[in-house]
Amino acid sequence: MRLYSDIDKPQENGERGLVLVFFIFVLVILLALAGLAIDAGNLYYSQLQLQKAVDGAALAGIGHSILERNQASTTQITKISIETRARLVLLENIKLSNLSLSGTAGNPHIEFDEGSATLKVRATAAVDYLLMDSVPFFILGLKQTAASGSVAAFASVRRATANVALILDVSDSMECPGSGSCDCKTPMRSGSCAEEAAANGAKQRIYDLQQAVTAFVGEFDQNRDRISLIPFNVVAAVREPLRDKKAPTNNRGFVPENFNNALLGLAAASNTNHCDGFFRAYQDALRAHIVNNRDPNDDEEMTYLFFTDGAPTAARLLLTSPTALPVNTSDLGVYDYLHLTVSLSGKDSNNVIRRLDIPSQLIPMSDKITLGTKSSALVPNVNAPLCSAYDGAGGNPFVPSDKPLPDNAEGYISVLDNCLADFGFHMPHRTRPKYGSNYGPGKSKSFGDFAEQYYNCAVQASDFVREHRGTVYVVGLGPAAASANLSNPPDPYQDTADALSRKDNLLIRLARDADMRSGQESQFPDYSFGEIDPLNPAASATNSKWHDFGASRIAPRYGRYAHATDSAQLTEFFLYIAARIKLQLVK
Amino acid sequence: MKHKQSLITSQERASALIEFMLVLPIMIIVIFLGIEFSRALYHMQLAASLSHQAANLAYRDCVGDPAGNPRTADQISEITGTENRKQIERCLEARRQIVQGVANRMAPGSVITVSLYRYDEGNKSAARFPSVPARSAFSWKDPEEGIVASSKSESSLFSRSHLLAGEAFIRFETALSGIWEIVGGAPMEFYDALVL
Repeated sequence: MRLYSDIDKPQENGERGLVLVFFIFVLVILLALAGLAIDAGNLYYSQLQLQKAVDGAALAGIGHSILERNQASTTQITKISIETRARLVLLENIKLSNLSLSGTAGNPHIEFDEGSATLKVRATAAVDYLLMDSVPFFILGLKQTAASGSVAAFASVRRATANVALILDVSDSMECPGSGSCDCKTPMRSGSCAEEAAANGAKQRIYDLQQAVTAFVGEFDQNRDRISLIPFNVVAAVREPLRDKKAPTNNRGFVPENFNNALLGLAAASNTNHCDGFFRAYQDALRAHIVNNRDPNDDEEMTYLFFTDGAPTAARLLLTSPTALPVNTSDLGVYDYLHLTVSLSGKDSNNVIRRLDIPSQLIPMSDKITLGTKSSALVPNVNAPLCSAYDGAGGNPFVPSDKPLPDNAEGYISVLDNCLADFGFHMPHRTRPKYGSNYGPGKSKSFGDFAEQYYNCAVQASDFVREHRGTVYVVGLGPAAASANLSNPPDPYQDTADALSRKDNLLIRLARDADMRSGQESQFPDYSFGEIDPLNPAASATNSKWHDFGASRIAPRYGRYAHATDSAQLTEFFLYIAARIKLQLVK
Repeated sequence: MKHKQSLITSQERASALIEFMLVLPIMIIVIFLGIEFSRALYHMQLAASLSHQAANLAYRDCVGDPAGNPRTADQISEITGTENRKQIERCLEARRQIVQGVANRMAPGSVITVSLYRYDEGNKSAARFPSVPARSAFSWKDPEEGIVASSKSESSLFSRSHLLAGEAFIRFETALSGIWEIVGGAPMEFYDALVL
């Protein structure tokens, strides 16, 4: 009997050495596989490094063009300078990662296109093979591989279109000299504010502000970016609107000349109404289809640059009737800006009665009330029709009977534009017979009772615009803080004797400056949007506090707050914010 | 005789077993190396990604900060801290913390640094704000020519003669790293950096 092990032994049948031949073939294949693994990994890693280098170069190039404002000369940042900086950063990064650029012509290729403000960087690098080139493919009859492979990377960055609303305080204190005391506003004045400023060797604040605005506007591209000018004191008005994005022509850009002297024709007077400024700017952005335009492909954002030199001392309290002011402060909640809604009911195009609740923050600010120019004092236009004139039969209090009830934001704007003379202003410093005799100095109601509302209104306004794709930057103008300890700032702004002395905490909160937390943020309510119920998102969208019209629910956009103590700093901060706006728009 | 003849003798079985026992440790090591190599590749990629994010975030948010922007060339040469600089330091440190938090979740024991370097022709290179001084490994020698030209006339902290470096030291822990460290080896780290 023979066992398996006795028969078919290769040695006995003259087949010795078979395994060795097999082994050599298989060895080549094994080496090839190992080489593939190792060199592919190496190539992948090198490509990663090169891509990083190229991305960094593109960002640095664009960033350089934005940041490098050579104050010593007036030369513009040129295409060459951008490309040079990108190239230098690319080379530094390549050195860092031990790559080497391949010697082919046009490598690296760096190009800045001024028309679209796009910087493109393309580079290829040669990577030596570690194992692949020494695998003996010739044994199998195949070609050897080259000594090195190459990897390529490409990056493209552009600065997106900037949409900026300049919301500027032109209240009474802006007439003061830019430095020194402000006697011209007191009974002890010996001359006008302009004379006092000249005597101090300074200019008036409004003039300094104008300089800052002119410098700011000069940093943007007049053919691509949109800028609006919204001065405010007790009311806000749009001096220079944003160009309408949906217009067929002329939908971008601005006219620099319109900004150069815009503020100097205004009278700095009256109170400071922060929230009117924000809402007016939002309304203008809405009209220009920058925000809430419901276009999923739209990625343009809105920026608000808010400037003030003092505390908020006015807000628009929504009153259904000028004489219906509450007697008790506890009734104030019923009437205040923040929670009141206006109900419209009327018939739509199908003759169906529909009811709409418009949250108060969308009540537009009327054009009928203008900021006083130097030749006329601030007066509301008493000839504007009152909303009550539309009461009556037909059930259409605000809408002309031949138009359907609007269900979009543009409709609301036009519907309510006529009625705003009926909404009163609250200025408790002065007694107005129109509002009854309870208000004013020495009366039962005083400034402190309402100041909380002015602050909260400003916070609400900034939270609102922030949640509709906006970022808020705030510049405050005031005397230097006594202490440089930024973690406990004293209050440097106007009305420091006021009981609610938290002005620069307010400004930090308005900007939502993440780096300058003062620890006082909890003093202000949070008016961010309500939660979305993940199980029923459609329902919670309509239930949300603010009747969302399609705002994106993303994390809040943090802005910046800067405190300027004199005119030079004011201009510098405006320029810094211009640079920052542009840098944040680099995509 | 009816009983089956086995094709493999017991002696062959025994020797197969012993051969397998010899091969087993080698096999385990090879498999282990394969797994660890993939993990290592992931950590290397993490180093690249986090250093990129740190540099990007710090550059976009902290450059051109007015409080950190000295207005005269003299102030650039100050090494000791001033109020002006603290704003920038705070900003850089806040961004570093964000990325450090990510690194702590992905690879505990890692260090992220964000540092601002100014090229000083006397000293060859000086790190102005090395955010984690003991760890910053980027040394800026032989900068490219265009970078340091006319550095004295600039008044901006983030300008031609400055570089922002984001570095990541990602700790790689293997199954045997405990033993390795007892023996006296240093913890294995993957390093990557991006300069802007």
